[in-house]
Amino acid sequence: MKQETSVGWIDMAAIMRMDNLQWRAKRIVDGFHSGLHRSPRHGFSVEFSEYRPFSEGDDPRTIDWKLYARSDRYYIKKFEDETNRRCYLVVDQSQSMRHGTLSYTKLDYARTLAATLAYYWNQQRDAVGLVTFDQTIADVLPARYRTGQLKRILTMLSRDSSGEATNLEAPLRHLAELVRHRSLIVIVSDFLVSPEPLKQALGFLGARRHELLLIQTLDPSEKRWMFDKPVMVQDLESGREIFVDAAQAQKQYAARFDQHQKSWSSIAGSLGIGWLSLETNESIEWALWELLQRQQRTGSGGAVPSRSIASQGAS
Amino acid sequence: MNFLSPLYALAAFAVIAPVVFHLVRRRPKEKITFSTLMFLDPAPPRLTRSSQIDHWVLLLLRAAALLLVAAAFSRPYWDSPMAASSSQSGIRRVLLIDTSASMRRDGMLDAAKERAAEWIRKTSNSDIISVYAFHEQVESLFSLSESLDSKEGQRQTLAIQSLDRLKPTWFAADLTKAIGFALDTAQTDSEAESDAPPQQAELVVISDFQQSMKLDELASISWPKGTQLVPMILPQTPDQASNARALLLEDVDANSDSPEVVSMIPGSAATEFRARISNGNESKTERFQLTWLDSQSKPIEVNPSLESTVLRGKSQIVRVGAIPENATCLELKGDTVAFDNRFYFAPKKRIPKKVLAIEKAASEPSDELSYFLKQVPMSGDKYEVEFQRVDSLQDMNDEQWKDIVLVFASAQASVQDMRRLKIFADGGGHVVWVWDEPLSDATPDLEGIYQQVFGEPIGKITEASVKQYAMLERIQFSSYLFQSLSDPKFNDFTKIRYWKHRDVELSQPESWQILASFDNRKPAMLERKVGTGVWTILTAGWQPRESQLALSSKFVPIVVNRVQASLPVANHANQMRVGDSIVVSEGTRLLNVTGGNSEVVRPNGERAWKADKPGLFALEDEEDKLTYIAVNLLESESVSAQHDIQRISQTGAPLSEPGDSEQAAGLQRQMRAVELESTQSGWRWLLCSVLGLIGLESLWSIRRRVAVA
Repeated sequence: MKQETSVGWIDMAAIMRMDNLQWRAKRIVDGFHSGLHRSPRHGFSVEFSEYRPFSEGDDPRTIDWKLYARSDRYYIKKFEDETNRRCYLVVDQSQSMRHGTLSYTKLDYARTLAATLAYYWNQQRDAVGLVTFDQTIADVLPARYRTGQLKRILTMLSRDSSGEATNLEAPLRHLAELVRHRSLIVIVSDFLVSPEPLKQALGFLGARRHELLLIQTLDPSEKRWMFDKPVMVQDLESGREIFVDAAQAQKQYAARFDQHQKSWSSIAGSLGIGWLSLETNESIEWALWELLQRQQRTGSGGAVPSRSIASQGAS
Repeated sequence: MNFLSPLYALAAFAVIAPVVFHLVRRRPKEKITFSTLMFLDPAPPRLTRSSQIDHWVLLLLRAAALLLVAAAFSRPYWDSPMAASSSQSGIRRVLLIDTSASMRRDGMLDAAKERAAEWIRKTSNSDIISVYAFHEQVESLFSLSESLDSKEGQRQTLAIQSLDRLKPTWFAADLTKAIGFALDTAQTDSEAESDAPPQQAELVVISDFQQSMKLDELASISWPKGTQLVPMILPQTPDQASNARALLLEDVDANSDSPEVVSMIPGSAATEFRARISNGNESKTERFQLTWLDSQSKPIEVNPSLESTVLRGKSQIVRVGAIPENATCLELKGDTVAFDNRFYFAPKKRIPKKVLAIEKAASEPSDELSYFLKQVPMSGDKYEVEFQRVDSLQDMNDEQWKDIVLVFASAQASVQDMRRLKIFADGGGHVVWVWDEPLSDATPDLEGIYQQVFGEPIGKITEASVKQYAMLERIQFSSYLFQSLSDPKFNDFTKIRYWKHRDVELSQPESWQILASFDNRKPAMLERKVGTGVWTILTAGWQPRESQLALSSKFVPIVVNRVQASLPVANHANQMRVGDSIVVSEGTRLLNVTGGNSEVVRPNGERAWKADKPGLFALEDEEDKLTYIAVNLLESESVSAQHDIQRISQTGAPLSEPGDSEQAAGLQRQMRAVELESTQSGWRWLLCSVLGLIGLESLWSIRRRVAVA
């Protein structure tokens, strides 16, 4: 399915070998753009809206000096996209995100994803903010569009965290208080928690007219039980150890995992929240693609994306 | 059964291991971390059949094999008494226990016995133990021959029993003598044992090692190879170390004219006596009381009581006033060590003797011989010597002659006088004839006088022609006259110059002994025996007109030596130390005054008596006249400071550490064990049975498999 589209051709393993988050983001976004040029969809760039006469209190920097040269009047150039579009990246840094059977962990993937989105939005001159959390909110960088914001975001993402257990509920409630203006909130996590208790918190965010997108990052090993011997399994977050019998687990795990994924996507669907589940060996461009589709869908009056959210979540 | 390396037996615990491993719950080796447990259910490990033991026989066989391997590695052997006795030749161990007076301190001898018994118990059965007590002499408690005669198992018991015979004495300790004796004992061979002297000998000395013990003499002992000295220094308790001693000093009463009232006469109120109190370094007290005791050891009250403070480690002279009537002993009180606190004294009289000089008074006193003689202190500690000058012997009666021992006669002495002197010399008297005047017409004819007195010529006497001065040479330093001046510090006679002297050509030189000559080889001092007496001639005077002899520092020693030589040898002193001996003449009884005036019985009726305890004794002659003798402890026994082991090792004695003998014994035991083990080789049999067990185990398991199949 991924091969059918023009995105997803980037080798994630190669991207992840780059040290610098910004390079990774630039590489992904550039690749994404080049793919776009060949796609039939375009026109998402920042568009000129109107000129407005300068009045006191306006930022003098926004004066169009070329127009002033021509007309001897002060005008302010206004862009359509420049309206209060705010994007918040919410990244889970709990211990469960440190699991990974590839050369990188889910957390590395999530950070790269967040960096990519931040870079993308920054290029679109959107105000980008970052919130990291584990049990509680750890770091908050309010959404701004200004010089150095991207660098700050990348620095914050690169910072090592000692996050422990995942507890989405409290950070979500906290987020609702933090983000007062209507924003696009992208939550990157493994969502390996029961969705039911979070329903209310997510609904609360939705009620604040925030646009929500949940991106689940999963290690390939998490989709099915890969061990064929009885093993002791230690929980990364709680440290609890249990003895797992292989035969029993293989049957049980797949069923329960599918059930879990379904319940998340159904809850997301019922709340009108975007839901995207990515394995860490999948390209991050899928996330950009999903965003682009959502933008068009909302911007162009609910155009149906080509990639169904439900089907993505279930895959 | 014993084991050579018993630690290997711990390997037997390995037998538990397979059982434990078998029964222990098996936990999976693999452990993984995972992001979440929410999709997993814990599966409790199930009990399997492996938790029970199914094949008891196999388990037992394998366990037995393991146990036998462990036993084989710990090298078992069976100890047989036969082997023990045959493989070891005995060490000669000589135990010397100090029984000197200082061991009379409370608990000291008991401690010594304890140490000795402890040491004896540690010795091996085959060792040849002998036990001796030593003080001034060595006394046998369990001698070498007794030890050799007794059976091996009994030696230790007998040696320990012999310790009961240990008794403290009043003598001083002579370590060198004791060690010399012990070395002789250890080296003495006997026919019953091997032909060669034993390789190893151990001398154990249990003593308090007082610092007064002369260790330097140990350096002169030649220690045979294989001999070891084990000094066991008995530690002192503070009470045992806290010692002080009082000595009554002999004082001459300067106010008294009579030579009779010399010293230590009880009741002589005019006399002021002194005592020296020496306090030990480790003494606890510094305040002491002195009491007088009578012959029944009852204290005599004096007013005021005698008390003194003597600092630790110091000694002090205290005035004790007059000695009360009947007092025989001065006792010190205040210290914790009692054995040396009594000091006995006897009424002491020095024997009066007289030295005579026959000389006419000269116009110048310094020209007289007696002018210088009377300055010489002639009295000693036994004799009170009085000097007297007479012009002639004409008026002397027999009573006056009685105490005279020596007569100095000048060149002026008459023939009659000389004849009297010849009789005196024949009876044992000593005569010194000094030719102190140059030969002239005025001087008597010396050759003639000699001829008349002795009936034989002396030889030709001429006045020597002296250029400037003459000196003495060929001085016989071995003679009694110069012996005390023989030391290189004193033997320089070149400062004594003679201005004038007489030369004598002896007609019978063989009957004369030349004590010193002048540098012209003519005799200066010569001597011959006359009867039982001695006749000495000096060919020059000592007056300054003749020579510098009287003014030199040599004069007094020479005169004193001459006087001493004329005094009879005293048969006893009235102050004796324990260990001194005297000869009790026939018909004289020896009484122990402090012991209730009982007669001291001498073994076998010997005439010699050796003082073996302190006290006041008396010699009673046939006329019931008593001569008192005080016997006291040797002062060296009161010293409480001890030698340390370093000091003993400095003497070159082959010391062994206290653990050495045990170490050596341990080594020997071990070597014997190795030998026994190697001859018995029990481990071979054990390993063989292990192989058998393993074979049995294999057979059993094959049979079981076949049965299962």
